[in-house]
Amino acid sequence: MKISDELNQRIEAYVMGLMNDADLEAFEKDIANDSDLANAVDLEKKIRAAFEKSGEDDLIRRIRNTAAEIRHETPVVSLYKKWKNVAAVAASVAFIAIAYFMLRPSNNVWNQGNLMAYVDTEFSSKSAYINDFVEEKSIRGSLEKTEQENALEEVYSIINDGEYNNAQSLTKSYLDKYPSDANGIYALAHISIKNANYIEAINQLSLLKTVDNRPLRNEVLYYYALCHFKIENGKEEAIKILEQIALDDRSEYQKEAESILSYAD
Amino acid sequence: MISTSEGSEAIIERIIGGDDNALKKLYKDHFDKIKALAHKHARSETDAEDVFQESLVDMIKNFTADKFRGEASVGTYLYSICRNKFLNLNRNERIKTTELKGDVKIISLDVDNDIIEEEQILLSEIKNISEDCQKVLSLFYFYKKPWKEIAEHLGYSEKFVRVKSNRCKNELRKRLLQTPTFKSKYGS
Repeated sequence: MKISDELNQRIEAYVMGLMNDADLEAFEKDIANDSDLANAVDLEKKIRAAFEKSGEDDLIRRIRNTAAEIRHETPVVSLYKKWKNVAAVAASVAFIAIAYFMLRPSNNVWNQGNLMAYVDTEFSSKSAYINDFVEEKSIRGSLEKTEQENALEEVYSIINDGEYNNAQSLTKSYLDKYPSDANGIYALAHISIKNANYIEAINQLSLLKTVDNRPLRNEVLYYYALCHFKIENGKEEAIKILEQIALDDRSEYQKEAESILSYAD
Repeated sequence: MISTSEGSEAIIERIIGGDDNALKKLYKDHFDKIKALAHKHARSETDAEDVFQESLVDMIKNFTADKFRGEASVGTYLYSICRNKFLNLNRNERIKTTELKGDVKIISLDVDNDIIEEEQILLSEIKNISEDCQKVLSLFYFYKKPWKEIAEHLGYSEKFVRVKSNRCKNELRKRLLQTPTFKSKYGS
């Protein structure tokens, strides 16, 4: 679908509502009689919406990175005096680490293999968020909890035990009752990961990327990044998100993100 | 560096233009006041940071939508957005006392999966076009910049930027139509 500059300008003017009445009427007639033009207009609306979304995502990422940079800025001189001995030990460790990384096999195949092994290990592990939830809730008696908390605990416990087939139907029943609950959507995303449906998992996790609950949001972002390693052309996006996590002091996955990035050359 | 007398419009324009130093300065200059405001509303520093970051995004979006044109200083404007957000946070928490902690009503699950898939593909393909193209189209679509300003910002003529933007979109359209999802819907 290659579009001429002249037609592109007309489509943009139409979508942005900048046409006068006469041009608008004529253009709408053209759309009604030309399915290619109707498709081009429809696609223009989608491209516009996608750029609005990606522009906002980029802006949020820049702001979060800036905040992380500011948090990292510390008065170096006074810290050095205070931590001189620690710094000496750290320098030795850093020297050994650098030597190790210089001497280790450094070809991409080696790294790629390790990277995917790391990702697979992460996917086969339990979710820390779900596990913490189950442990915290199990301390309290069922009468102290709301009906929704009890229902969610049941779903999360089954996921925690690795019974994903049962968990899937139970999660769907839970979401029928609490359709937009972030914890329920996360359960569904987690099951998708366990079933290796990574595109589906990405779609579900993307609904939770801006959720207010920080521990959940941090885990969502981490798994969202890892899922991108599993889809075609997803590596760049995965790395970008992991770099953001690695800069975030308040993410429980900061260290993991750093480790994975060291493999993702 | 931003001078102390630099106007609100100029600071935001620099942020829109990709100047992260302007963003950093803005952050450093105003975040402490928002932390104090959070304290007054009995909110944590984490809340302060979340609210401040959301407010920065809102301010820039309002600026691009012509709802804020530097009639107040950046500091005053940010402060008022943040104050409203803290008030809303506290109000919403009072309303949701019976609901599960950490449960956030965000979006209905009755979302068409095809639409989500299309959006994912679009976002991914946007990242695959050249950085120049991403910049031009982002300034146009997200920051709502007129072609004349985009041309000035990038140092090209307006005519060239318009032609370039369509070339970029043709590249994006071509990439989209190579995916099965878009091919089945828009391929002729």
